[in-house]
Amino acid sequence: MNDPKEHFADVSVERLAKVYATALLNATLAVNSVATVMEEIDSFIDDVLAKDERLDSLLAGAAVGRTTRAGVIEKTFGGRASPVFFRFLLVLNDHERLDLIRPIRRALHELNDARARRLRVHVYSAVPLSDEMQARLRAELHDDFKLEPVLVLYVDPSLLGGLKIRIGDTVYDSTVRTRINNLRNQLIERSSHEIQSRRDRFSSAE
Amino acid sequence: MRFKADEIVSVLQSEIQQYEKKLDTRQVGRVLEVGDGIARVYGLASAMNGEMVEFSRTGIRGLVFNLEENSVGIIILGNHLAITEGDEVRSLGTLLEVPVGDAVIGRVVDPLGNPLDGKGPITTDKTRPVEFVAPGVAARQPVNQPLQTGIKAIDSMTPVGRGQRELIIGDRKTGKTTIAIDTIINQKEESVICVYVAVGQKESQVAGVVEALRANGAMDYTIVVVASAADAAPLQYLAPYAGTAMAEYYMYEQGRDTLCVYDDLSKQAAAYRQLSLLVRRPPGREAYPGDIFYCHSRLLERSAKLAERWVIVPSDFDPSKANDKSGVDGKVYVGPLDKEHAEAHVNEEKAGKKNVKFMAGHKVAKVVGTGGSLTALPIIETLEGEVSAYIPTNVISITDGQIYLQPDLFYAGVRPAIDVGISVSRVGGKAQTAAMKSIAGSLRLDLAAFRELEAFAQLGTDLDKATQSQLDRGYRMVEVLKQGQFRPLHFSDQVMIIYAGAKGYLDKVPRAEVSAWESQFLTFMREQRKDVRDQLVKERKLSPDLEAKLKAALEAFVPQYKAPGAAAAPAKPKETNIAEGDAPVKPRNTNVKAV
Repeated sequence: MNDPKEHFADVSVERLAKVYATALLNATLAVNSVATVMEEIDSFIDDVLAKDERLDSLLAGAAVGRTTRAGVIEKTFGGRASPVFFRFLLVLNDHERLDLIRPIRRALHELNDARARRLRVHVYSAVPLSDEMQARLRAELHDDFKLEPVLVLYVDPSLLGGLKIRIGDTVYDSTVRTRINNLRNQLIERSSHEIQSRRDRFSSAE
Repeated sequence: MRFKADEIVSVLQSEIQQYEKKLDTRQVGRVLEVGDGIARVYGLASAMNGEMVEFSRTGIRGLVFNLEENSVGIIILGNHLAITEGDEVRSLGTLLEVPVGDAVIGRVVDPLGNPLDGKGPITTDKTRPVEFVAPGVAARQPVNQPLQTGIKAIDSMTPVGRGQRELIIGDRKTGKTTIAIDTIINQKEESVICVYVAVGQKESQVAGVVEALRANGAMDYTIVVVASAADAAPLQYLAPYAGTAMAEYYMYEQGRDTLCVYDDLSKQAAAYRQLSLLVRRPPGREAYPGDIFYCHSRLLERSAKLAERWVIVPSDFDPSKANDKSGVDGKVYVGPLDKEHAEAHVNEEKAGKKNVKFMAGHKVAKVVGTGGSLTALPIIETLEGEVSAYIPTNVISITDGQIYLQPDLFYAGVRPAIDVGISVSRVGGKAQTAAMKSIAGSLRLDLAAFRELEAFAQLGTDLDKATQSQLDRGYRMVEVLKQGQFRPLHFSDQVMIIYAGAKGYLDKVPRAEVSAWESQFLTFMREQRKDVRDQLVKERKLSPDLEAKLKAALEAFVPQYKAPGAAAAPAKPKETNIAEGDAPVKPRNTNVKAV
């Protein structure tokens, strides 16, 4: 989920990916194999595509034709992957949309979270969080949002301390770095205003 | 100068002690793409149109401009080159505001209120939103007070009232800015706060304008807002709104009269077109977006004459403390008609006609801070005199009249080069002073008749005496209406010289000497007939008594007039001079042809 390639996706791609993800989720729900397919798509991206960049160009590039790619998919996944995921890859291949697999995975996770009333929470901290801390955080988030939190943890030493939590578009920030920044801005702003408006107090014409 | 370190330390210390540990909660998004002053941002799901945002890494501010299904278009109010893909953007939950108040007067600022004149920071805690809804019908009253531009041709034929929108339109280099600057300079004794908004102009030109204002002492009551040609399109688009906000402070909060010059709106329209195309709004006529009309109409609707509010107060009441609750009868009288009613009540009471329940002796007082006005002088530049282009027709239809400047006239030496035929003022006539109205009433028609006659006279036919004298009068009036740059005239001087011209006192003066005659006459009136001038200034109308005095003064001046150079060369008989200078059969004179 932390692949930098996924961070700044194109908006139109996101929309397209959501369409495929919705279709895939509904298909998996019909045969009751959500967990399996989720695991397969994660594994497909993290274990297969991430290992060899050439596979990416094989799937996304125009160098290889649709039929050839279908043959490759059938040979490699036929009988190994679940039927739903196998057919999904073939559909993507038919529509020349295999390059959307990463945004589709993200959309799929989001849709699945929403369905299961889960809340994806991105937690940034300066040091890795202990299990006890994570449990406390989960409990508090659960009390506040009445949803089951799923923590996505990031470690960023430049935060210096405290926690930054992002849920959707909202960021709750109590990190030491932000506080120091705010204090600095406030000091500059207020003091300069004070000094400008009452110069006689701060200097004498000697 | 010595700094007091302990004072500075104490301020910092108290700030640190008062610092609150608040949880910083914000709505964020991420920059998808950025270019030419526009950023597309993913996220910011609850952002509202017109809301301010901040690019967290650089601290640059932006304005939400376009809400799309999956992204938000943001106009960047700063250096867009410093923003990169993936930057975090946080919404600030506020609208764009600019500093206002006395601290901004005399300053040159950018559309965000940052100083550009090197005179240090602007220290004020007063701000106003850049976008503000125009006052409604109930809050306004008809234009009833003149805004003296000090330019004879305008004050006499296309008068501007306080709260009016009068468009100045013409090709490049026809003196549009000059008219606006002269008007600002003329407000010196009128206590009108002026805002000059320069949009998309050369910095050198703006520097020249600021220098001219300063040299004429106009920066004491003027704010200059600059978004030059080098500034990004968002700033050029916002500048007129920011300037209006600064003027509105004085109109709404202090009840003062203000003047806003937008120089010029065609460049603002071009900036808005650029922004709109960058956020992929569909282009319309001349590639302007569909809402370009609204862009200008909502700006110019903010110009208004606010209704004065009146209350009946005891006669010993201090009028500077009058507010909505001061009325002895609990009523507020809004507008000129209501004021008459209030005065009628007071008069009835004085006459003992009314059964008065409160103490005897009342007066009508204006509620402090009401009745302010904002006059707009938008400027539009045309191409080759094409007034039927998209933006000129839009702005013509929004404004209450236009002053049209002709390059032909300009190059023929008629300056200001106002084409009186198609220049109009739709509401200013009501606000014209009675004196000016009485003498200028027929001026437009006379000039139109003169032009017709002049075209006929150019055919070289012999003319009868009456026609000839009408022509002579016309030539003299054209000369009278000429006026130099940065030399606005007081309305009384305008009235006197136009009166002299219209009544034929100039008929025997050679055309080339009209300007010398005028300046000698005005000096004469100021020095030797001060009483007449003062009476005119006081009464503002030409009563029969005053008119007789003015006539007597003119009679007394005519023999005193000294032709320039008359002392050096033996004076020719004046009649010969005129015959030579004005014979209609003479080869055409470009000077008058185009009028």
